[in-house]
Parts: sequence; C-alpha cells; structure tokens
Amino acid sequence: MNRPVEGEDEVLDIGTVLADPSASHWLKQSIESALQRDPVDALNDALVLAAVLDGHLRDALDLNDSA
Amino acid sequence: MAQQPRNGPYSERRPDLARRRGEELLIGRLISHGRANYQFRSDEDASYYVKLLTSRGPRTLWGKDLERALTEAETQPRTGDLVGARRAAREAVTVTVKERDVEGRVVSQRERHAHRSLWVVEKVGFFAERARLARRVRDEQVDVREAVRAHPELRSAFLSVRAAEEFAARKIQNPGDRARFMELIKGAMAGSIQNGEPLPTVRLKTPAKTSSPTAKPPPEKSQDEPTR
Repeated sequence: MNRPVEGEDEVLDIGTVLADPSASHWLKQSIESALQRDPVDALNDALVLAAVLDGHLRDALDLNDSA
Repeated sequence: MAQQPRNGPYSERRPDLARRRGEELLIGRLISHGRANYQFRSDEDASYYVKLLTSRGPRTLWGKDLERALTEAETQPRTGDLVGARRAAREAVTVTVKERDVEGRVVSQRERHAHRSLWVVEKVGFFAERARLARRVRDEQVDVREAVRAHPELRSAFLSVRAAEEFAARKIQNPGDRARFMELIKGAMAGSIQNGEPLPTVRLKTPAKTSSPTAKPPPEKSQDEPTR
C-alpha cells in the first residue's frame, strides 16, 4: 500500500500568523498572551474557546435548526 | 507547574448538537482544496478534497462533487474563509471496485452500485441566510404578499405552497390530513432551502407554436410575472 502524500497546506505557525497583515489584532494579541502561559493550559483553553465560539456562531446565525 | 487538564463540563455538553454538527453542517476555516487521489494514496481513484480547520481540529472531506460545489458556489469561498460544508443530497452511481494483490497490482475489478454525496460548500453567512429563508417558508402565519415583497427570491416557493394548499383544499377532505399534508410540504421545501440547494425558479409556460398569421400576440406581462 502506498503511503499517503498530502498537498501543501497553508502554514499556520506562530511567526507566519504574527507577520500576516490580514490576521486580526485580537488574534495576534491572543497568541502573544498565550505564549506567556503554560503551553498545555494555553492549548486546552484555546480548544475550549474554539468549541464555545463555534456554538456561539451557530446560535448567533441561527444555524442550529436541523434541515 | 502545569495545571490538570480540564475536561468534564466542557466536553459533549450538548450531544444532540454535536451529532448534528457532524452530520448536518460542518463549519471551519478553508485551509486547502484540490484534486488528489482518495486519501492521498496513489493507488486510489481520483477524487477531490476540502480541508477545513474546525473547532475540533483539521477535517478533510472527500468527494468528487466537492469540486463542483466549490466552483459553482454562490459565495465563491477562498482559502482562509470561514465556510460551511453540508451533504445536500446523494445520487446513485456505479463504481468500479478494484481488488489488488499485496504489491498493489489490480487483480480483478467489478462494478457495484453506490451513492455519491452532493455537497454544498459556501461561506458561512450563506447558511444563515438560507436558515432565515427556510423559517419564512415554514411560518404559517406569514402573509404571502408581504413575504414575496420582502423576499422575491422565495416567490416560487410561496407559489408552490399556495398550489399545494389549493390541491389539499380540493382533494383532501379530512382537515387533520390536510394540515399534515401542508406541514410535510412546507417542511420539505424549507428543508431543501436550508440545506443550501438551489432555490426553485418559476418556469413560464412556453406558448404553443402556431402557424396562423392571425394568432393573437401573447398578452403583455403583468407586473406580478417574473422576468428572466
């Protein structure tokens, strides 16, 4: 069986995001603030934040009705 | 020292919602998309992938129809956009199943019936708008004239509902059955609108061809008639 070969994705490393002029000020501030924290706690909180904001978006745009 | 990871109250707090999120509308940042062999394996058939960064991590969707979904998307999503992806329907297809030996050589192949998913991939605002339109169609109290004025794109949907109401009034005696019939019609129509399927369009009847030189010209369009 051949090994999978993926195409090149957008690189999401810290330096790239901080240097990206299209990235929001909020995102850059959050990254800089998170870098001061314990990396396990920072990622754990970020995952919770992503899940919470996913739910918030669905509520705000009323996307929770089943089709 | 690192604190203990916090799980419990945050995980699967709304399992019904989580299930729907997986099956109904996947939301994420569009990372990349393109043609590739299925699962990026050289011995698999050509397919198309869409990679999203979701709140639960990266997800890669596979399906030949994803290319059409992106090319024909109303909102023309681009890499970096927040998009929604939803399986809108399935179509029956015949696929060739290849059986290979340990070295990957095809030793036999056979045809089998399968279903291909038809996708809708749009910027996330598209689904919000469709959810809003679907609610308008479902709303029994809505005044049709007002609604058509506010949402001309829903004209055909409202006309279909009106036609169904007239059909039910003529053909279905029992009021309970009539109400259930209308509920099904509105539910199906709202469901397909919310799914992101193309909005129905009003088709004008083509006037019958006539060779008579004295035939009357077709009447001028009233203001209510749609234009194309």
